[in-house]
Order: sequence, then structure tokens, then C-alpha cells
Amino acid sequence: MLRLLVRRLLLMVPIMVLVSFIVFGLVLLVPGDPAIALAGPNATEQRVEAIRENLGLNDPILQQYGRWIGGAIQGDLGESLFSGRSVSQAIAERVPVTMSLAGAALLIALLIAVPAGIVAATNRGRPADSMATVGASLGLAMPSFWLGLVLVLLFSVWLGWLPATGYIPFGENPAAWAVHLILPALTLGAAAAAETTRQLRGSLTDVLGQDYVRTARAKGLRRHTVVFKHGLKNAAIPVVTVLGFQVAFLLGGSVVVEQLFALPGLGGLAIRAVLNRDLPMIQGVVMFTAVIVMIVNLVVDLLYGWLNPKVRTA
Amino acid sequence: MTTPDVTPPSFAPSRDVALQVDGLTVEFATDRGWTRVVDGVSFSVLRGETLAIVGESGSGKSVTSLACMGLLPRRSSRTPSGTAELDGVDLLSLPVRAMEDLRGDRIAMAFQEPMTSLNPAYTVGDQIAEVVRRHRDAARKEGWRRAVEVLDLVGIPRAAERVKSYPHEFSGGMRQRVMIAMAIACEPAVLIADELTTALDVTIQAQVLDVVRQMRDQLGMAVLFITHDLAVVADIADRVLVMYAGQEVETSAVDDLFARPAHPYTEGLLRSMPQSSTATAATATAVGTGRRRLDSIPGQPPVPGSMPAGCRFAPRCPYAVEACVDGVPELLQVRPEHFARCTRALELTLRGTR
Amino acid sequence: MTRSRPTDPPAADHDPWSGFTGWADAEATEDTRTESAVRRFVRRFSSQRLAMVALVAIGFLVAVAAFAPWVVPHDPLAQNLSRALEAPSATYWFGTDAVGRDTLSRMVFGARLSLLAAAEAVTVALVLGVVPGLVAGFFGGWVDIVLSRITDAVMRIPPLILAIAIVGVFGPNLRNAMFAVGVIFAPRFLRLTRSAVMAVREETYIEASRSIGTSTGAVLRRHVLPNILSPLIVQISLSMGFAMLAEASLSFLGLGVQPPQASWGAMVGTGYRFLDLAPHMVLIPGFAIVLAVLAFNVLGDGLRDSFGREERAADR
Ligand SMILES: Nc1ncnc2c1ncn2[C@@H]1O[C@H](COP(=O)(O)OP(=O)(O)OP(=O)(O)O)[C@@H](O)[C@H]1O
Ligand SMILES: [Mg+2]
Repeated sequence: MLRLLVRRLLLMVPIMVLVSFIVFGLVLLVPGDPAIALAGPNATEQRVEAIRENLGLNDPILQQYGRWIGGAIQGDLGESLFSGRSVSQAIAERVPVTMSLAGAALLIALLIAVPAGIVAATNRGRPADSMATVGASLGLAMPSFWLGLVLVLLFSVWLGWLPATGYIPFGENPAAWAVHLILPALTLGAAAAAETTRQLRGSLTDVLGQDYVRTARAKGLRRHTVVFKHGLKNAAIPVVTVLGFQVAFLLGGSVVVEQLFALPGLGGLAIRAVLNRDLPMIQGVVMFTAVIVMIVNLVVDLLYGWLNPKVRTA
Repeated sequence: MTTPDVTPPSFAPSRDVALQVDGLTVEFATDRGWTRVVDGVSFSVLRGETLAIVGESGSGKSVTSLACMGLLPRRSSRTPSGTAELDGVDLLSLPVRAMEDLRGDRIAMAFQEPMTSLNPAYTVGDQIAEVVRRHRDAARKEGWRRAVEVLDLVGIPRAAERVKSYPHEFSGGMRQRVMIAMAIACEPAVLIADELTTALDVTIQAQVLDVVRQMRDQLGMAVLFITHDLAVVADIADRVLVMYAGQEVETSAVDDLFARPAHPYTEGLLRSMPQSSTATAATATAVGTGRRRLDSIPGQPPVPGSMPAGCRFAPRCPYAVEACVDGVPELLQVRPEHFARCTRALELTLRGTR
Repeated sequence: MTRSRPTDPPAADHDPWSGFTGWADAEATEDTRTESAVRRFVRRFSSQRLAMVALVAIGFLVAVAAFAPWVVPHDPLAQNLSRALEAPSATYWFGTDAVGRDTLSRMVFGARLSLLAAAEAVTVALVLGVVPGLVAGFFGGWVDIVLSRITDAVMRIPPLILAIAIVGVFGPNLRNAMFAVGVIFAPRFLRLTRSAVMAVREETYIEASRSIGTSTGAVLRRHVLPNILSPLIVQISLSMGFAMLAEASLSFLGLGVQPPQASWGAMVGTGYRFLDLAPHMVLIPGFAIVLAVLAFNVLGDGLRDSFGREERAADR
């Protein structure tokens, strides 16, 4: 297990470097002189100079990258072009919101998808299976912001059960924190739930057709033991494998959902940065979320080793 | 079905019958309605005895055994007639949960593919202990102890260590031993082995057959051994049931079958054994040579759902006469304890391997 | 299938098994083999009712979008403040928005925008994905390693965040937004093409073709492209749906289409401030998005099931 961990960590390094190239490379994509373009059409000469200074655009490109990545490793992602604030600090302030949201969404997605996938796979061709399949197709086709609005319309505007907007920090009032997260998390988690339901249905159906499941049944094991012990652990492998992508999707989707429910998370920061063309802030957010995704992938790899002894002992 | 003019090949009840199958019929749901793939098969297996079922691919061997285990797909199959009695209980009419109680305990099955028939995600010890705990009400430790015991019994070296290994850490032959250990963990009355040795090379195959034989003798089990391979039959079986197109076509003691087959299909099977081994096929040493699949008789077996009228083998049979196509042959007794489903069984003299 | 055999009893020394032909390996030849790939596809596809419905729905949508100026009941930009925020009625089938513009007419033009935008994104993804995918798959070696690593890296960045960042760099408008969506879809096409090409490359006829001096371009065009076509078509259909979703999200955020034009996503985006007063402004365009995306997804799945197994394996 330890060897697996070390191996995965080592594999992460080149990818991390490439990601940082891509993120830093964003500045190269800015058309024309980045400083002028980023300053906007009506900027003063001083402002352009200030931007050039901030980004260190006068230095050779490699030196610029070296400075940026050197800071990033120490947690310094530069300063906002717009407010002059530290990017890292701005991100740190808003991370709890986004993490709460994405975490809750993942939890809700699994709470929906695992039972739905099992019911569908063990009732192939029956009404329960059709319901799960149709539900999953709808979940994948629905834009999250629209689903969110429908939920708000239903639970806030018409029924008045849940708050439509706002965020209460967990430390302040855990109950209110949870209540305010229900609708956003459901909105964000729906697509992940749909995708996971589909995958679990497919993989569990495959697994239940395997010879070792027949063996388990030949041993006289009860149906629930066959499905939950012999089926689920193996069926979880492909589902877990793509969990990293799911988290990436959730982090991306949270931008929309935070905007919709007025949650003060990374999403709002990113949108404001884009509208202000605040490049260091954009780079910071992208790099940060990519690192989160990579950490999740690492956890997934370890989980994979636990589920699949062949990998662990190899 | 008309009444056969001879009694079905069952043996005197005074000897210990472990599994008694009578007129077993299995049908599967297909696009064209219910298709019969096993048609009125009867046999019995005695305690301490091995009955081999042989036949070409698709003849219904596996379906027959799965029916006895209650493992046929519940929605797409049915058994419109027949019984399979174990200790006086008809397995075919048993409720699902009651069947689950017997399965793995009184009647157990070991499967062909040792690679895919064991769960890759759990240790072999876990998978063996699980059966014991399920049927013996045993504590965790007790199940584990039994796992070590049976692994040792089937000849896995350093069983106490290996019990913690995963299936992929074993070789094919060892995995097959694990399968056997799992099946005999509760000392079943009946052990069904479906193509247990097909995937193995000959030396390993002989070892695994030895294990089966030893376990049978030690535990006094009845063994139902399904195979393609007549050399294996010669090695392990006491009696043989030959199946063709879902029917039993010949049944006899193993020596008599090899020496004097009474059904042309059996003769064809014997002929298609590789020459080198046919000479000594009926002796236990013959295992080493041929392991060809029995698909070498000219022509194709009929497909379920479109069986030829009359004798099902007639279209491929070099001895077929008009009577074969006109009438459905019954099982005829050719000698004591030797039956064949062939109208001409009594007049033909067929060539055996000795 | 069955052969007739002599029915008279064989002579004593006659070998009854003289017809024995050795180890028979006669396999029933599949009649479907002779059917052309296209015919088989059409037969399989037309038997899938749901996919046919989806195809018809997409055809309808495309037609409406193409003939937008002629089919709209009202001028999509004409404001009528006295009739603002009206619920659906006989005059305004889908109601009106905050300045009294007809929702249906705006949606018809929105369909045009959304479809074109999605097509643009998918085209970008095709160019950015298929070309490097061909190169990586065909040449292998370090080119492949580098391209695959880059793909891995891009896939580690949350897709929507990358898209937003790209829009941030180029500036917010529909064209840039769709370029960004194309970029985030490109890795899928790259992986797909790469694995399909690798599978084809193993085939001997390619070796043969190369050894007689056919140029690489010709080999790609003649042997490789036909083989990767079907998985690509499937992926294109699925991606059209996801591109519409992405466009809707970006436009909802105000990073895509700019007023006074409106795609369906943008219409939901402006409508949500009037959620309690005029829920139809949100519900109807959103529902249209759901149906359109569903249609593309169902079509994609149907296409996947209609192509042969090889293509299915190569997909993903
Ligand atoms: N689940 C099923 N549904 C429909 N038909 C089936 C099913 N299982 C088996 N059959 C059919 O029943 C017939 C007998 O199959 P069976 O598996 O018993 O053959 P077999 O004698 O064991 O052959 P093999 O030597 O290849 O294992 C075959 O024609 C097969 O197609
Ligand atoms: Mg079989």
C-alpha cells in the first residue's frame, strides 16, 4: 500500500508541472500586449505599467514562470490586478464555502446513486430499472442552474420550506449551514448522481453476471450477501475510478450554483476575476482547483488499491 | 411421452442413493417461446460413487446440473416436469430460501473457470469461511479454522499461510483445488463438478482428479462429474451418462461403455478420442494424452427448438434406417445396468476401445 | 445443415465413419456478414424507436433554427412594455419577458444561436482533438507520451473553470466561450481518436500498405479515417448535447452570448430575477434545453448501439 502511495505521488509530479505550465500559459494566450489588453480599453499609461510590473512582463518568459511557480509552491499566487489583494488569501477565505458545497453535493450524489444503481441493476428490465434509467438521462440533460431554479421555485417560492439564497458558516450555526446547503447541493449533485447511477448500474450488471457471483450463489449465500458483498465491492471499482472526474465536474459546476444561490465561494471570485480580466486571480483559482482534483485522484488511487487486491500486491 | 417398456436406469434403493433425478425437463424463454433444452433426463448418483455426464457442447450437461442446484435464471427458465430428490426432498419444488439453505451445504458445486469463479476482491480464506459461517452458524474464527483445514485437505501446501492469499496469487491448478475446498467445506452429500479440469494441463489435471477422488472416498460424497473428455471419464467415473441434444442416450458402468458401446453416438465419441489414448482409455493412466473437445463427429448437433423428428441423432448417424426417423426411440436395456436410446441397440454391434 | 446418410445397414467390413472428416470446425457462416456496414447500421438504427424520435426532434429543431426569420410569430426584439411579463396566452404562446418581447420568437432565434454555438464548440474540439489524436496514435513513441500527458493534465483542471479562465483571457463573448468549450472537450476526442488509431494500426493491411510506399496521409485517409468515423460520430452527437449545456451555463453566467441576443441559457439567466412573478420565463427555455440535450444524448446512445462492437469498444 505504501509503495502504491509513493508510486502515485511520483506520477503526480509531472502532471502537476504540466498543469502549472497550462495555467501559467494562459498569459501567453492574451491577444496582443497582455498588459494593454488586461488593462482594458480606457486604461491610463500608469495602469498599464502597473500591470506590466505586477506580472513581471518585462522579464524573459521562463523567469516569469519560475517566479510564479516558486511563489505558488510556497502558497503565494501573486496579487490581484484589480484590488491588489493577495490571491491566496482571497481563495482561502472562500474555500470553505466551495468545499462545503462540493462535499455536500458529492454526498447527496452518492446517497441517490448507490441505492438507485443497485435497484436498477438487480431489477433489470423492470419498472424500477426504467425509472432509474430515465431519471439518470434527465439528470444528465438538465442544466444545473435550471434545476436549481425549479427547486427554488418549488421549495422556496411556492412551499416556503427552504431558504433560496445565502450562506451561514458552519462555525456560526451548523443547522442553518446545513439548511442553506440543501438546495444548492442537490442542484449541484444531480448530474453527478445521474452519471454515477448509470455507471453503477452498468458495472453492477456486469459483475452480477460474473462467474464468481454464480459461485457465491452456489454456496447458498443469501441474496443480499451476494449483491452487497460479492457484487458491490467489484462494481465499485469503475465507479471509484472516475470519482476524480466527478469532483472536477462538481468544482466546475459549483461556479454556476454559487452564482445562482448567492454563495460567497470560489465561483463568485472566478466570475468577478473574469469580468475584471484579473489574470493572477484566474490563474490562482484554476491552479488551486486543479491541485484539489489531483489530491482527490490520489485518494481515489488508494481506494482503488483497497478495492482491487491485484493492484495492491502487484 | 409414451411409457418406456423398461424401467428407467435407477438402482436398487437398498444401496445409498444420494441424488435421484427423474424425468428432468428444462425450458428457456426465447424469442420463439419456451424452448426445451433438457428433455426427460433421469439418473441417480450413489454415495461414494462418481457419475460422469459426457456429451458435446450444448447437449444440456450444465443446464442439468444447474437445475439440481436451483441456479437456473429464475425469470427466463422453468422445469415443467421432473424431480431431483436429495434425502427425499425434491430440490426442484423447494422454495428459494429453503434451496439456499441446502446449496453449499448438502449439495455443492465446483465450476470450470478457476480464474473467474473466485472473487478477486476477497482472500480465499474469507471465501471458504463464508460458506461455513453461512451453513454451520459458526463464529468467524471457527470458519477460518475450517478454511485452513479444507485447504490442507485438498493438498495446498502451507495452508495456514495461503489462506490469507487472494485468488490471483494462486496457479490454475491450485485455484481449482481452492474451488474444491470451498465446495466440500460443509461436507456435502453431493458434489457437482462442471468441467472442473478442462482449463488445466494434463499433469495438473491428473492431480486435481486425484483430489476429487480422495475427497469422495474420505467424505463418502456422491460426485456428479461433467466433462467433454472421455479420457477423464475413464479416469474418474464409475458410471457414465451420455447426453445428446438434451436427452440421455446411453448410460452404463464405465468399463462396459468403453468396451461395448450400445449407441452409435457413443461409438462416435469413442472414435474421436485421440488414437494414442483410446488404446488405454479405460485405464486410469490414460489421462496424460488427449484432451480434445468432443466436437469431432461429422455434422452439427440439432439446435434446441428445432429437433429432428424421431431419433435426434439420426441425421448424423451412419447406422440410421427409416425406422429411426419414424419412431421416437426409448431407452432400451441392452445388458444389466446398461441402457441405450437407440432402436437398433440390440441388433448393432458397435466398436469400443478394447 | 443436416446431411442425409445411407439408410441401409453397412457391410461388415465397411467403416461406418468413413464420412468422418477430421476435427470438424464447420462454423455456420453468419448471413449478416455479407450485409454492407451501412445497411446493417441503418437496419439496427431504425429498429431503435427512441433514437429515431430523437433524430426527428433534432431535425425539427434544426429546421426551426434554419428558417427562424420566417417561422417566428413576432419580432424577437420588438419591445412592448404594456404587455411585459405576461403568462402564456393565445397571442404569446410562451408568454413575454420583462420588456414585453415574445418568448417563443426569442426562443426560435435562441435555437439558432445555441445550435450554432454548440456546433462551433464541437468543431473546435474536433480540430484540437482529432489531429493530435491521429498523430499520437499513428506515430506512438514520445509524441504519444507528450500528447497523452498534456491530455491528462488538461483533464485534471475542472472543465468549467478552465472554460471560464479561457473566456477570462480572451474576453467574454459567445465566440470565445465556445472556443473554450471546444478546448475542454478536445481531450475526449483526442483519447478516442488515439485509441481507435492504435487499434487500427495493429492491422496488417496498414503495414502492407505502408510497405508499398503509400504516403502517411493516404494511409490515414484511406484506412484510418473510415475506422474512427463511427466512434467519432457517436462522440459528436453526445458532445453536441454537452456543448449546449456548457453554452447555457456560460451564457447564464453572462460570459457567453451578449444582449440583446439571447440563447436559451441566457433567457433563463435573465428570467430568474422574475422567478416569482413570471416563472414561465425560466421554465420554458430551460425545458427546451433539457429536451434538446436529451435528444442529442439519446441519439448518441442509439448511434453507439447501432455501430458494430469494435466501435463501441473503442469509444470512451
Ligand atoms: N440461460 C440460458 N438461456 C437460454 N438458453 C440457454 C441458457 N443456458 C443454456 N442454454 C441453452 O441450453 C443448451 C444446453 O446448454 P448447456 O450449457 O447445458 O450445454 P453443455 O452441455 O453444458 O455444453 P458445454 O459443454 O459447452 O458446457 C444450449 O443450447 C444453450 O444454448
Ligand atoms: Mg457446460
